[in-house]
Amino acid sequence: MTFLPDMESGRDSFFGKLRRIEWGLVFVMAMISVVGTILLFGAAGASWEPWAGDHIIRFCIVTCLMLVVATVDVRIWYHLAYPAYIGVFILLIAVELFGKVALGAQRWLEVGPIRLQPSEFMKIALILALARYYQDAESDRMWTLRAHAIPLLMLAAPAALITLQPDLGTAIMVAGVGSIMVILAGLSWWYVVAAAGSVATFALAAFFFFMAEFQKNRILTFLDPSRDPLGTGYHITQSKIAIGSGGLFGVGYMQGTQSQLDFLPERHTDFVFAMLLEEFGMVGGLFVLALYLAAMAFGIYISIGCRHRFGKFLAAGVTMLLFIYVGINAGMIMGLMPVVGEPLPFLSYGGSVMLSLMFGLGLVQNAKVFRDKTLGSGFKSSKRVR
Amino acid sequence: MSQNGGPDLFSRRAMILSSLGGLYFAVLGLRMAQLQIFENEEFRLEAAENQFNLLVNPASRGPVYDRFGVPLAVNRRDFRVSVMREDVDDLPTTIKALASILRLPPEKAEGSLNEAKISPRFMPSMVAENLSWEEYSRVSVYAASFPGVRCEMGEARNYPLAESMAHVLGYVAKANDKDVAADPQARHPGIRVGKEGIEKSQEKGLKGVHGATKLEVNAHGRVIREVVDPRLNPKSGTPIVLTIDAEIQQVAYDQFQAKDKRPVEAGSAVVMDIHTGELLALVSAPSFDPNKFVDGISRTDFNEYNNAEMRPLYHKAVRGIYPPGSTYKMVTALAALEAGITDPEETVNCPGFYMLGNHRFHCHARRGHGSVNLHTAIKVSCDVYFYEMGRRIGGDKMAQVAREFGFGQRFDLGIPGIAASHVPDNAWKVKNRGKPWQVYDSLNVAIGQGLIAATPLQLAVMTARIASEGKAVVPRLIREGPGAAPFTPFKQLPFNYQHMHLVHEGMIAVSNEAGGTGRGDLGIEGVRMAGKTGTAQVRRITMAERRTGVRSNASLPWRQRDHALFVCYAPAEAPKYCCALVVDHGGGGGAAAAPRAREIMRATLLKDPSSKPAFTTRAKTADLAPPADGTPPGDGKA
Repeated sequence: MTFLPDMESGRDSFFGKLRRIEWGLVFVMAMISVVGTILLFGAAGASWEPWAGDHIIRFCIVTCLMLVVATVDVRIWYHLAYPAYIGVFILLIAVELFGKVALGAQRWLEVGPIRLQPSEFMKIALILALARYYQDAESDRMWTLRAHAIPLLMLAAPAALITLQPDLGTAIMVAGVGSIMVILAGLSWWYVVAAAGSVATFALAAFFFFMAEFQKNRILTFLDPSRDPLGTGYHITQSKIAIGSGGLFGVGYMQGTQSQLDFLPERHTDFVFAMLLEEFGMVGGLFVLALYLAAMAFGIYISIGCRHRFGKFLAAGVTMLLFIYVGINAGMIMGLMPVVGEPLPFLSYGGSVMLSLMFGLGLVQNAKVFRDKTLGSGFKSSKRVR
Repeated sequence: MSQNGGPDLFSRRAMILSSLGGLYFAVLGLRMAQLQIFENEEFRLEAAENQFNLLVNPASRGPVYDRFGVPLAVNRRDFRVSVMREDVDDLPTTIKALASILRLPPEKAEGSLNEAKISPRFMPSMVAENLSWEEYSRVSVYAASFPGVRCEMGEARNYPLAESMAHVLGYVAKANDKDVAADPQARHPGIRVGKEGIEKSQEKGLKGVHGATKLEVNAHGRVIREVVDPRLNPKSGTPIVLTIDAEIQQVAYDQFQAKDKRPVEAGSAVVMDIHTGELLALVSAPSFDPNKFVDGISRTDFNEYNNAEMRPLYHKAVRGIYPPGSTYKMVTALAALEAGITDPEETVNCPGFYMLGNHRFHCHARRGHGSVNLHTAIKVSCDVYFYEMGRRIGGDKMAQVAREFGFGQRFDLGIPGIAASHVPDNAWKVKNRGKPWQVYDSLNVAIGQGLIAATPLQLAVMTARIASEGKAVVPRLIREGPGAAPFTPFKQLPFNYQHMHLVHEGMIAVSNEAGGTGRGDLGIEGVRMAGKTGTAQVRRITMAERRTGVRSNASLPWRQRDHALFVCYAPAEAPKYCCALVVDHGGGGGAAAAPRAREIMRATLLKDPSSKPAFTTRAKTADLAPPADGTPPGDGKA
């Protein structure tokens, strides 16, 4: 780990970089993961098998990975941004051509024993690519649409491919995080409002003309879960019962009848937060939401504090991605959003999301570790911020 | 790109977006509060609904005993197999498999299938019951491989005495739509609803309080555990002790059965303790087997019962309305004495008929009885004597006395369908026949024909009131349990003791003196009986028939033959029990009714049930028992 070329401020040891890591953020993520481990331990009936043990071990592994990502020189990431984006984009096309059908959608790509879900990596790849683009493309005309034409194309193309899988949830997340970065880059609010209006119009049109039946059902059921309480609405109805019966302090750890008696579906993945709300009540729920808020506050703080635009956009993008995950999942289980099947990062069981988001958080830490770095020679633009 | 010294564009926008994010988190928090605080109650209920399944656990139906604790209606163990549609994979296949294991006939299997198809998903539907232990164990072994099949041991109602108690007890049967509307739990295949008799009228007390089995189930319907909750335990029904003596009841019932050359007869018999009003026997014949109704009677069996000429389903003793015939003559005699329009020694000449205007009223003795006084008139049942008395007293006065003896009154025994009949007088006739009372009405009623009609129960009450020297005896059927009325001492009726005594003398003569219409020996040393025969005409005998000779009963179709009646009490000197007996279309009262009543009375006197300690279900509280439990006051030694 000795990529130490061209340091402006003299020698920078590995331990020096470690010291500059935002350990508060690491601590918050660890807290969330420990809560997740506790929940998964209970979900399996007081057993480390099959989820809780995996979960905590995975967290330890991805934390190590995060430390690596955080300490790798920022310019390496800068240079890798476009190739990574293009690579993941090609993988997405490959999924479309050779992908495995799982749960009615083509999401997986099998390479030997490894199952790849390129749409998951696209979230991070897009953030990287857009951060690089805005690092390079700073001008005083950032409010114009023209200044954002290429980024919009960069986010729309993968979103469209992912929609085709069809995986609307991930597509929306990719498009969403990309759009937030465009807004951060300075696109005029008028365009933002106009775009929001046309997206709404398009969504309505899509609903009536393009959506698959199961997607339509999800949305109809979201609007009225009692429409089909034993069919599509079952998940959300049971989730609301679990949450509502929890009350202020919850029914007690491993005492949740909805969770323990299987009424709550997917209690170890998408609906883990509902189990938390049932067993630990509103107090437990607010505690976990506060942890996520703290993580995001660290992210925004790092973003604003970073002196180069690449790091700013990286940190803000990943933070917003985390926000989108939490917002969609928490909204879904409480019946505020349609069931889109997105997990709650670090709380839900599942390796892909944890891996990609921890990679993203590594980039956030990187913006902290290399906050004072000037992206200098060899770069298109080397303006120092502030 | 700092502008104007303020935060740069990126920081501004980051703060704006963060604020929006924070706002969304606030919405999440509010939603949490809405679901978890404000709607907490509803969701907790819904979670409990998910978590628990309540299965009806039928209460044990209260048993019914006779006065000495002989079980009349009990619950026996019943092995049965049912299916719960909710849990069954493939209903026709499952039932087919069960049918082949149990070797059910195809039509029974099809019936079970049809019933299961329409039963609610969550309610077990019966496939077979009354299984033998072998069948039950066989099906239990296979049940595991058929989801939704339930093998249960339950209770089934059983009536050990079957026919003889059928009308008093009634029966239980599967709930019909009306029963289910009244009590949804009645749909449970282990629950039966009282349909007749004690079972129907005392349903509420007998059925007890059904309990529930609370099961914790998971989302797939698998039972996790049974929740023990004492509040959900069923409460057994309250037992009932009847005043009936099963032994006497059986003797009375057997009187109507075929024996030697005697054919089966229709009729009814009532035996009563005259001091307490307790009914020792209340029999209607022919009868039916109530056990057949418990599991659902077949259409063939039901039609056989329902269409039989002798009407076995009909409770004749309390519902049957008969002309009392000559058994009514005591009432006429008392009315005459009380009205003071005759004295006991006055004689009336009986030439075999009585002329009213130019209309001839016949006596049953075609050649006449000659000169008869009150005593002889009762003994030989002279119609002419009573025609004369009836004419003198008039309808309204006779009616007044009849009411004192319980005619026209509905006695509440705690069973349904007890008839009141009526007491005819001028007002009654105007209202029901649209014509005023005529003298010939008085003549007819005086001999217990015409407009007067009574139930066998009312005849027994009349006899008890005569035998007790004018106590207003009220019959009782339930000693203990729901529906039992507390015993209150009977009040004295306003009759002259002397007059009552004259009637007693006449009735003793009927059974004991030469020429008495119901003469016969009880066969118990030193015990005499007092009685009165009755032969009630059910058809009109025309003048033409009188000329050519009245047709004999045997030559007539059954429905047109005379009813044979007999009322009696014993011992004659210190009355204790009375009996009223009717043989429907049985012919002459002396020949058809008196011997049967005598047999019953003999059995009653030999057993003397009233002097024996009665059974009670109340442990150790017998000290505080009402007078009905002990020897009633004024009860002489027999």
